[in-house]
Amino acid sequence: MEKRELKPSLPAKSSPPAEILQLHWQLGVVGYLLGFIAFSGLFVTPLAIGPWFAFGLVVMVGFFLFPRWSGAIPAKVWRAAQILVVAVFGLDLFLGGGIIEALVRLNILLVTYRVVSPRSRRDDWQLVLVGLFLIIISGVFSVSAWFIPQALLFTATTMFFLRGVNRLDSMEYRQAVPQYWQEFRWSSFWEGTNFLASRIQWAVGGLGFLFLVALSALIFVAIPRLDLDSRFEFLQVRGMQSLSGFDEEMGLQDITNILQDNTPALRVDVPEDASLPAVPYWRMLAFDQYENGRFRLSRSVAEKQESWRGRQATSVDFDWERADIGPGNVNARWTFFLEPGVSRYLPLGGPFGELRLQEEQSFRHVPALQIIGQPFVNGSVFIYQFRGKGVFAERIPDPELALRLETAEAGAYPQTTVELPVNEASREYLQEVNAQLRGEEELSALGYARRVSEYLQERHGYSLQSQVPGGDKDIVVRWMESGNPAHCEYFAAALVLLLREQGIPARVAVGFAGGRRNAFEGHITVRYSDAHAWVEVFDDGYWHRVDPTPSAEGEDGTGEESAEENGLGFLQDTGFGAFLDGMRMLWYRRIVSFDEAEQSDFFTRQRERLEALGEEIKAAAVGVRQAVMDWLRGPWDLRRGATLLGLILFLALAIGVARVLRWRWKFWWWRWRGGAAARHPIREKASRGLRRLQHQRVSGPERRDNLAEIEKALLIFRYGPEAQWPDSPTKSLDQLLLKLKRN
Amino acid sequence: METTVPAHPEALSRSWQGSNQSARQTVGDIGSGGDRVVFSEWEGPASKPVDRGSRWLWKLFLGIFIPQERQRFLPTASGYVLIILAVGLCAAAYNTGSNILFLVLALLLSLFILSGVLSWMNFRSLRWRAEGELPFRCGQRGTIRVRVDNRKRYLPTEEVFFSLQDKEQKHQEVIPLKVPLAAGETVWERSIVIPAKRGRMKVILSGAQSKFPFGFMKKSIGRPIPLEFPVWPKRISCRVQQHPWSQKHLHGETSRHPGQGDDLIQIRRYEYGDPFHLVHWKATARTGRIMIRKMAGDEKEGLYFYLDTNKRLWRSEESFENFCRLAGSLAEKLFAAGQFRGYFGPTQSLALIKKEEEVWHFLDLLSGLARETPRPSKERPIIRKNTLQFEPYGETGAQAILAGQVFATS
Repeated sequence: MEKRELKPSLPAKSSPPAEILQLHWQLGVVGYLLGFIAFSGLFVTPLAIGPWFAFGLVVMVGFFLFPRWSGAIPAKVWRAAQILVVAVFGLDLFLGGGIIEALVRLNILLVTYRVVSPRSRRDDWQLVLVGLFLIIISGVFSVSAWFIPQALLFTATTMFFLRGVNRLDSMEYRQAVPQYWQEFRWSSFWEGTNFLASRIQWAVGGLGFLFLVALSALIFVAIPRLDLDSRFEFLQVRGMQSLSGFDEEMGLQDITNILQDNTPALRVDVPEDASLPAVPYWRMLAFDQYENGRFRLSRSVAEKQESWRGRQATSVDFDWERADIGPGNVNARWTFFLEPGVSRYLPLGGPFGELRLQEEQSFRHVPALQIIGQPFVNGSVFIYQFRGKGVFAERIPDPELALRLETAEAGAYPQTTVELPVNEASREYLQEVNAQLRGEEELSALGYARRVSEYLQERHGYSLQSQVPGGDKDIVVRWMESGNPAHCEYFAAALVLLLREQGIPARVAVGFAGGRRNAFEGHITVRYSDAHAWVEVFDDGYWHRVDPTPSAEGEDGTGEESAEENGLGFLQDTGFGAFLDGMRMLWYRRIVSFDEAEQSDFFTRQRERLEALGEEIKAAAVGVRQAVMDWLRGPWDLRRGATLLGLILFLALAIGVARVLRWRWKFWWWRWRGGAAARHPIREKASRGLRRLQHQRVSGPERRDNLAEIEKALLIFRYGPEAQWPDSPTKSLDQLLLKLKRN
Repeated sequence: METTVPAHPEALSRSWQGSNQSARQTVGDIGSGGDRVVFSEWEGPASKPVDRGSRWLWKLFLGIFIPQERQRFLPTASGYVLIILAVGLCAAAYNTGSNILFLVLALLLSLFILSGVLSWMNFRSLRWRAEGELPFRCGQRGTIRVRVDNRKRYLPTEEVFFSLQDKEQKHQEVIPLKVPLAAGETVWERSIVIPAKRGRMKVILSGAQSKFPFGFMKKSIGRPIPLEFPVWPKRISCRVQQHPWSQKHLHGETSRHPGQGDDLIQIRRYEYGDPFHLVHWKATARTGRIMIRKMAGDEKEGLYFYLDTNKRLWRSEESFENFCRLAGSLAEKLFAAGQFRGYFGPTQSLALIKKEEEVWHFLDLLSGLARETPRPSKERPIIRKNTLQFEPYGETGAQAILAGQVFATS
């Protein structure tokens, strides 16, 4: 059967009506908007697409500023460009780019091509799909909070765009305007028609969008989450470098370089009942070997790294002994959100009850140093959760160290924690200082470490600028001799050298110290500027944390006082920056890390809230009923009568006012919609009266005459000129309708 | 010309109630082409009074999600693409555990639901029916209109279309709503049809269809309305020969006696079916009633048609078709001249023609006429001298014979 769908009414060669051209132009410009929105997510994506992204952006901006270019380019060139895009994709794959990166690069080219080239209906749909794909890819790989505004903007624009496409299709001229850009004029762009012609359509569109957002939230929360055993890992972006200092080797300047950056590096969702130290230490790495101003993981430690894979683990799984981690809720959850590119080693407080991950992961762990690292640095935010008591252990158990120390070969762990590879002059200086500090008093290793810390803090000030004089001695020794101020690496290194000179095992640990509480969301924000290095001293079967840097809180830097105890609490982040950070945390907390457990908790909370609300309403209703009954049963006097009468009058007045307001609303609405004569509120009301009249059963001549009279009057209200209406038409019409009702 | 006028259903529905496609009720004040006729009953959600029973709110709610009777949903090509995309996203979301993908999936599903809700609002309180202009003649343009009422209070209806399907000719015409129909307004959308052959034209007007708002789904509501019309033979310019009768009656006659001929002999009141050309306008204006001229020529003996459909006579279908055309065109011409008196046939008793409506019936009869093998009949019809007989002319033509002489040819 021949189907003639929406055949053009105009001959193909005739020029299309102006409104069709305008719709095409508007559709084209909205297409550019879609392209720009899709591209916006690429700013934060960790994928290697920089040049491609820049190329696409430049082309789109160029064509957007000069839209006639699209019309000026011959169709053959556009077709050739399509083939070129496919060829470039093939070449990209052939040259060994990863499949995901190659697909994203292809997508960038496709979005660019579809945005700038003249489009048919099918191409419009393709633009929406490739744009959506680009948004998904950038969102999944960056896990950036920008995804939410980007997705909402894209959805709203797509709704607008598809309305335009559908509208244009229904106007029969689609095929008649192949090169609409040739006649583009910004001057007449907004004149005349657009997709949503009337205010009511705009209003419906706006309400529809709000409905969509609310419904999406509901579906997102309610959609069943399944705990699948095996999940794909392809959404993880790899290949980034750890920050220098947070990798397997640290120089004396590395941490200071990180300190220059004040952006957040780690966010921690703290349990409500958790006790936080005034200065929490987020330990990432410990270096056992020292050589010429550099700390590193010794080869023996690196070789003993073990692999582990899973979604959840305990300290025991990592061959760590359960430590005395203090009082607290064993079910408390500490959720960590590590920003991309910080390090492949996870910031930890110490041993933990249980570690949970969003998906199955591979890990490397070093039992000797009690550090956990991924095989790669995450390109997007990495989320992990600890369950158990407080995670901030100030000492890490290592009962077998003393034994292993005796049997270990030189250059192997744990010998590396006592080795002092410095020249003789340096060693003499260290001995001299130790002799001065040790005295005759018997001190434990920890006690002595604290004394040395005090010494260093007294002798040196804190500064991010460190000056070390030249000489043959070790660089740390030269700094100690100079008495110059310096930053944490120097203090930590000096303490380690002095302790090792005494034969006390010591190592440098790095990570973050401190953090601020966000005033809006209550989480702890740890910034790059909180990067820190400190020392772990072995004593009595434990590695004790000692922080010799003068700026650190507490006498010995262990931060024993909790925020509650010292009464100071955490420093709070406030202001707009903190608000944005709070929004980002909300995104991580409510959306990115939303899983089956969160879902279950959410519904439980909602059920409890509903039950509580129901109880409250019930109690309030019972209370009101009881109060009314008590009042009615009480002795009646003039005052109570007057009160009741007043109440009735008030209700009558309220009803009257409501009726007036309703009429005024109707008139306002009528005027807002353009004040068409046919939709005059009085005419509409008269129309309803006429309909009612039509269904009246007529019996008796007198009644028939009455109805005829009412009908005549109603017809004047319905169709007659306003000049024929009585002076107060609203009142007269009401009377007429009342008469109709009574008849 | 399509016009958008305010709905005044209480006024029109009363005058058109109970009409169907066989009735010819003229709505004289609309249009100036043919006769506007209502072809069908109302169809659509607003064609029946709203059921405000105890559970109407619940039904309304369910109606959003569960397709009701005569509601059809079919994904378009883009809809299929989105469904596949949603399934793919769902699989990817579960396999990766990525909440970003769950979020996109939720947005996509919401968009589908929003599309359905907006579409439901678009169709809500809509009613339509087929109207048109009669007659339909073979080979000539005829008009079928779809009257659409948007009976919503606030919201417009847009991007709705109907299709008119002619199964015999295997042809489908789309009748779109060209502009958004504002709340409370009515529009007539026109479709031009050109019947290819004489007989009964059967077309089906589909229910309201729409891809509103995003084009994911093609939705239709309402049942198809079958329409059937008689198609009159094509009007031809028949060549009336130099025949004594035509010389006298069609071209005028001279007479020496006053009072004879086509003089006005009386003015009488209008009767239903009187041709308009006989209206005496001056008398009508004076009396305030429509008055009709009675001419002397009316008393004269006009012509009768003898319709013989014998297969032996009409050996070819083409010549028979030309016979129908000739008979129809002559009938209209003679009636206009006041000379068509009636018709009969071998098996058809005499039917007299006095009113225009009876000419329509004659043309209806012609529309259904077919060649047939004659049944033996004892009574032979009396062929008088003022009876036009038809016979083939050449291979394909037809001619009318009066008193043994050729009167007209096709």
